[in-house]
This record gives sequence, C-alpha cells and structure tokens, in this order.
Amino acid sequence: MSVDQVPMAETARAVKTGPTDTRHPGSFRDPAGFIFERDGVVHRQINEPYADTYARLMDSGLYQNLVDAGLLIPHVELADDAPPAAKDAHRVIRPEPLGFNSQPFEWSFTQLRDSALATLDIQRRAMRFGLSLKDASAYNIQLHNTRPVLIDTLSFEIHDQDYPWVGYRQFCQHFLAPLALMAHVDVRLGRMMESHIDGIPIDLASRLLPFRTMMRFGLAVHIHFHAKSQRRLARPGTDRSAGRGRMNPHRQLAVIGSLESTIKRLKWNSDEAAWSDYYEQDSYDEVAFADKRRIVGEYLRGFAPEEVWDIGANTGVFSRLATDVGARVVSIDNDPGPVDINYRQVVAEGGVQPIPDRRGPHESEPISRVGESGAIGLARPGSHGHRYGAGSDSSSGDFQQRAVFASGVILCRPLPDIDNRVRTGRRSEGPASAFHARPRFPGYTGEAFETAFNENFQISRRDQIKGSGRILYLMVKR
Amino acid sequence: MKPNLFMAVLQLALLLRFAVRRSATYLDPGSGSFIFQILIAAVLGSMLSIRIWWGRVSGFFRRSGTGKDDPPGDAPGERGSGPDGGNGQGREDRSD
Repeated sequence: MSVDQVPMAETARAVKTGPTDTRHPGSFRDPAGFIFERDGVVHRQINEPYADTYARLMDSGLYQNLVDAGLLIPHVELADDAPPAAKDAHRVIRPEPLGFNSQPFEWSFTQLRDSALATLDIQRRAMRFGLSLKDASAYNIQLHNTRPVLIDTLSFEIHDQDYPWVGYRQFCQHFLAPLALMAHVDVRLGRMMESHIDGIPIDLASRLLPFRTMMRFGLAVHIHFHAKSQRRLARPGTDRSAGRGRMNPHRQLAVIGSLESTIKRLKWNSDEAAWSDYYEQDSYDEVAFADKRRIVGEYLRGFAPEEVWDIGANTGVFSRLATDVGARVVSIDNDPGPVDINYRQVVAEGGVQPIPDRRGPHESEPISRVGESGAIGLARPGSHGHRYGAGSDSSSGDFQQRAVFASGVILCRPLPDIDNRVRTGRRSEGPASAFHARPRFPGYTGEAFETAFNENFQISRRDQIKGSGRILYLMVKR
Repeated sequence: MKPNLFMAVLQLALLLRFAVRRSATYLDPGSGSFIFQILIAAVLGSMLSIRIWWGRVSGFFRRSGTGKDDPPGDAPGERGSGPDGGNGQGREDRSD
C-alpha cells in the first residue's frame, strides 16, 4: 500500500518507530513491508517474508527494465548495517523523492488513462520476467516528472502462469470504470474515486453507463458482463486455487491486451470544457494579455523562485513563464478541461506538472511547502476570485491565510464585473438559488484586497495591465 | 477481416447464462471477478488465436500475390498481443 492511499491529515497519527523514524499509518496492511520517514525522507522497509520476491525483482532484470522505461520509481538500498525501522527487516530502501503528491481522483482524463496504460505495460513486462502485479491500485501510481510511475516497489509477486491475474478486478474498478464514466457520462464522475477509495464498483459503473456502451465490445465484457458475473458467479468461500490450470500466458496476455485496447478507445473531448478557451474569449484582449505576460515574467525573473504553484493555472500559460526562469512548477486548476490540455502539452514539451481539480492545496497541506523552498504562489483572477473569494464568502482572506507560508505571491486583483468567467464558473457549481442571491464579493474593495494581505505580505510591485482594469501585485513575505 | 465480435459476445452471454448457477447467499464480488476472468480469458484467448492465425494466412497470400514482403508488423497477428489490436507497447503508443 502506498503512502498516498492515506489522506494527508492522517499523517498526524503516524507511528513513531524509532528516534527519527515515523512509520506511515497507511502502510500497515502489507506484510511485505512498510513506508516510514527518516529525517524527513521517505524510506521503505522490506520485511523478511518478501525477501525472495524482492531478490527476483532485482536479479531478474525487471527492476532495471521498468526503471529504464520510466515506469518504476528508482531506489537505492541502504547499507546492510543501516538500522531498520522495525523488527523482521530484510532490507531498507530509499526511493527517489517525489516532487509532488497527487491523488487519482484529482487527475484529468488523460492523466488517469496514461496511468492505466502504464499499469498494463508494467504487468505485461513483469510477466515476461516471471513476476506479476499483485494489485492494480491507482494509488500505487504517481505522476512523477509528469509521467505515471509505479511507486510501490513491493507490488510484485512471483507469477503463476496458470493462474488468473489477481489485479484484474481492481484494475477495472480503479481505472476502467472511472475512465468509462468520464468518457461516456460526465468527466466530473472521476471524482467518484474520492468517495470510493477502492475504486468504483463494477455494478455501479454498469448501471450508470448508457445502454449504447453495451455495443462497445470491451466495455460490454469488462464492465457490463463483469458486473452480472459478480452476482452470478459469486460463491461463499470460493477456493481460488481451483482456478489453477485454467489459464495460460496466452490467455493472460489476451485479457491484458483487451483491457489495453478498451482503454485506448475511450475518448473525452476536453476542448468542450467551459474554461478551455479562457484566454481566447472575453477575459483579455490581445494587448492586455501580452502586457500581463510581460509583467508576470518580470516578477518571476526578479524573484527567481525555486518552486511555483500556479493556482488556477488554466492551460498553464503562466506556469510556462515560471518554467522558463528555472522553477519547479505545479499547475493546479479545478477544471479538468484545461488541465487535460495542459497535461498533453507537458507530455509533448515537458516542464510543468499540472494537477487538476483541486480547490487549492488541501487544508492540511498549506503552502508551507512552497515557503520552505522559497517559491511564489502564483494566482490568477479566477483562482482567488472564483475559488478563494466566492467559494468562501471573502474576497481574499482565505487565500491569504493559506498563502501565509509562501515566500511570495503574484496576484491579480479580481474585478468581478469584468471577469465574466467567474460568473460562468459559479453557475456551473450547482444549486444557484441562495448562492446567487448574495453579492458576489461582499464587502469587496480594492483597499480591502490589499489590507487582507497586509499582515503577512509587503507589496513589492503593483502594475496595472494595459487595456484592462486589473492590477497585478508582487507581494513578498514580511 | 476481423473476428466475429458478435459471436464472441453471444458465446460469452450463453456461457454466463447457462453454465453458471445463481448464488443466493453471501456475495463476494472478488470471487465473481476471479471466475469471470477465467471465462473471458478463454474467449479472448480464442479470438487472439484466430487473429494471429488469420494474420498469418492473409499475410501468406498477400506475399504470394505481390511477390513482395510486407513491412514488419503489418499482419494483424504480428501487431501485438491484444485481441482488439493492443500492440503491447502501451507507454509508447499514447497518441490515440
């Protein structure tokens, strides 16, 4: 089980295992090993019962094959005399640190689809080396340097070629079902993964999918027939060893190949999303947009941040400006459409890691990480106007509280009567009655905006964007 | 020519309908998925075999007819292991 299967807030209940070691609370179920932090760095202990499988992973060539392909997180083995975090240790490894943790329910359609294909690719390669994935959890995948990578080194088991793939059901629940719902019903249904921690039940996906998906061979088999079979074939105390001898590598590869082609045929047209054409529509004309780019570029070059969180990043135009000055950049947006566009550009070009569908950093994950590394939390009008302003009934207070640990912020003062997309965003949020009866920014004035940040930040620069009423700020932490 | 998907679906539906009795006790979706995978693997494996066989036969006649060799991987059966055309390269083939 990966460290990312547990909400961030639960890290507070992590178990102390030694003077400097903290065992992650979500890593207790797997007898093969567990994750712990030593001096703030994530380590993984491999327990004695998993020693043979680990040796097979390393000695067979599978580890190097997967690492070379960018499919498995690389690690280093600690010296034999390195202290273990708990008894029963076979070895302690230190995986390459992840830049940014995200959750599958936050990913855009293409991010989840690429993760699904990566999982199948890993399984196919593992079978060639005599191993197999013992689970197919989406939480074992992280977008590391933008690309999906398996982070649970202990996910493998010795492959029994006469035995069905034990990860089949989990793969359907964690990948195929949400992707099918996103493609054929509504892309926002990917958020169902948040409430169904072990993936979307197959029977639920089958009910929600339109009848026409019965005409798609892959979906008919792996979702609809699969759902019916779960009821028909389920028996109490099924002896799974009875399945041995009824599979072979040819049939196993046939199942993997069928899943792969089914996933590849799922499409979602992200260009239809409401915010995808934000820049091309009515928010900025050509002159204003060019001027905003110039000003933000100046701010970034002057501040020279190490890490930037672009909150409300849209398709990542300003994130790329931060990349140009050498910063590590995370693009965050709560609309899956532009994030998907951003992600596909990043895959082609590299540089920015877009994370969709977050309402800013999690409550337990303030921008303190940014502050520690000396970065700017970059925000656009939509981000604080729509998300931090309208969403929390204050024009900027919520954002400034969260940004308090950042070493600097770039903000654009919201102008609600101009920023039409704020209105669109609010309409799309659901029940409008009471919500729309209130003023959009109660008590909002330009002075109030500056005052809200005054406690923690000093205004370093203030520039009006040509051809627009908006004002850009570079604020530096006091 | 592609394998007859309709027949494959019909075959699977009949298998589920008649070869298996309904359980009225505790339902374990895991065991259902487990047995289901064995059933579909037989069907999908057969389809894959047919595809590979058909690719070899049609490839043989194409080569005989034109007197030229096909480019590598042109025959359906040589494209990979997926019965629906999966090419086994997942990570590299992300363009679609």
